Amino acid sequence: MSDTHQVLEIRDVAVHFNGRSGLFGRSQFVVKAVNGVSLDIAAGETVALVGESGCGKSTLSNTIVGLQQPVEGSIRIAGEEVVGARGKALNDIRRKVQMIFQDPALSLDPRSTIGAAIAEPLIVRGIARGEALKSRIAKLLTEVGLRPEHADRYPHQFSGGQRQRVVIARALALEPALVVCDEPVSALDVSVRAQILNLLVALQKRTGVAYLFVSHDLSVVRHICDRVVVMYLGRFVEIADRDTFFANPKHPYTKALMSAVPEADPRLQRSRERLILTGELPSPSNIPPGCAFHTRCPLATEICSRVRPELTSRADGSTVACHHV
Amino acid sequence: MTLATLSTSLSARFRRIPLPILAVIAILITMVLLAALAPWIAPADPSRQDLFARLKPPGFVGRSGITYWFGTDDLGRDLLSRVLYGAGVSLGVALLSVIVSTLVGVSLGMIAGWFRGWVEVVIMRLVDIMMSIPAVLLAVLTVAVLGPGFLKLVLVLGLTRWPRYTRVAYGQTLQVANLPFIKASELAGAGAARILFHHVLPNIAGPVLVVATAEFGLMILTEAGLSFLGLGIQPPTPSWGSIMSVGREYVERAWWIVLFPGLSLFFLVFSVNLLGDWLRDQLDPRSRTR
Repeated sequence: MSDTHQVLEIRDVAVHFNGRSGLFGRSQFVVKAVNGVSLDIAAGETVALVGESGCGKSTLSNTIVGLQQPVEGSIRIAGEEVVGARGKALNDIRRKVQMIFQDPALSLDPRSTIGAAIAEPLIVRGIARGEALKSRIAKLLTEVGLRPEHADRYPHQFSGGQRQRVVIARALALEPALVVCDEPVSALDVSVRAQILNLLVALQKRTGVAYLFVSHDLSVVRHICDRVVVMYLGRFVEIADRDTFFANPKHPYTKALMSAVPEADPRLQRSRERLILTGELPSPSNIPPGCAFHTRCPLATEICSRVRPELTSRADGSTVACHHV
Repeated sequence: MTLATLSTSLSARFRRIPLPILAVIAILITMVLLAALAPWIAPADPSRQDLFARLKPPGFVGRSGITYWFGTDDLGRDLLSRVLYGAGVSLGVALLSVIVSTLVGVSLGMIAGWFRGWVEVVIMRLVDIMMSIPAVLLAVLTVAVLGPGFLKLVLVLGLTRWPRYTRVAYGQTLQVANLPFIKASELAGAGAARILFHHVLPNIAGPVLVVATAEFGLMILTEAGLSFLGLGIQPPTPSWGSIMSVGREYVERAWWIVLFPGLSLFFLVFSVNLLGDWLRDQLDPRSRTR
């Protein structure tokens, strides 16, 4: 299955970490951060990946860009297999996926000018040098709403929003097919979030890049995404188009997430039925048997602790992993 | 960045040098000049003895009419000349051994912090072993095997003092390596060498510089100690350390033998430490242009 319109096809990807504890690391355990997930992203599409802290979102995005190796499964980028690829082949695939990090203060080297930061991928890949490199940097800076003469400045001379623009320019320098955005606006002031989101949308319209948008802010997700994937303890529990997702969330975990989003109208807010989860997210080194969510689920019955529900399709096109909906 | 923009950015960076730093730089330049010009400006041959003029105080006028501005030592040698000649030896040993140990230590520390795994285990256990052996004992052993001499002294000091730099560089590298901008460089396709030199090294340079300036003073003192044990610079070549270690015996009768090289040492180490501190701040772009 290598449809060329898919920029990302992941199949049954699992990422585990080996941990040790106790004196001399005698007791070993495995943290199953990502546990068999499959997802396609088409060119120009924006897919949101939501879930609470520790559910495996960041591990999955690191794996997609290649900073982490999966223990099993397949990851194809623009039709080419990444898992097991080496050397130049791997390098060529890698340039098609880039990443935007959460904290723009940490994603730029404080000792490099922003021009040097944007130039790095172009220099390392031997794409441009000299005057061509300069004009390329100027063009990228203009595209993200900065001025070419900013290239000689250092990151600390910019505001958070401007730094994130620089990070976006660097991510787009190699003209990637997919950009993984790891909470790109959650470290920014609310006042500049919309600007950055609009910039991402505008750049997508022009270049046709696809985004995997990792977030736990559902209002941001609603604003920018075509499709939503909900992750819980290393697995996907619900995948749906944006409108379906927000109109009719199905999985009890999704409903809990949605009910946590505050409503602007206080009367509506008060009349709403709040679904509050009890208990903590279980440790990914000790995932409950059956449905991983059954320990906190209001609908859980006996079957949930025995049999793990698979993702199954529903009439409105969404897929949900639950025995009861 | 062209050469022109580089030079303008450098001059902008150093334009406003505070007065104390200017003074410190002046002291250092003077010391280096005095050390380099010692053969021409020293009033006497540093190893010429005059047993009739032993342990004479500063300002003593000898039989031949020369004035001993710093006094004389236990063999009647001119202390001023010995301090001037000794400056070159002390500065040279300290500077070269700091360079050697910085190069070795920082490279190993960055490699251990970046590659992790067995490389890290081997290097850091080696550091532990080196740090658990008393440095002077190690130096004594090495000199005993290699024999004394200026370059050998530099090698011995350089190759026994690197573990401190490795510890600092390793810890700093571990911290920096997990920052998103390093991941971004990896995604850009940069290899280990480029990441280490372009991104890790500039970001760990500050703490390393502080260690290096502290070590600089320590190197002069260690050289003095080794010379005192007869394992460093061989007499009659003077070094500040060897002058002081001899003067220690006569400190009650002839305080000047210890005082003058000691003061020189104090000013040198003090200046280097101040300069290092200031340089560290200057090299950090965040502390500029505000």
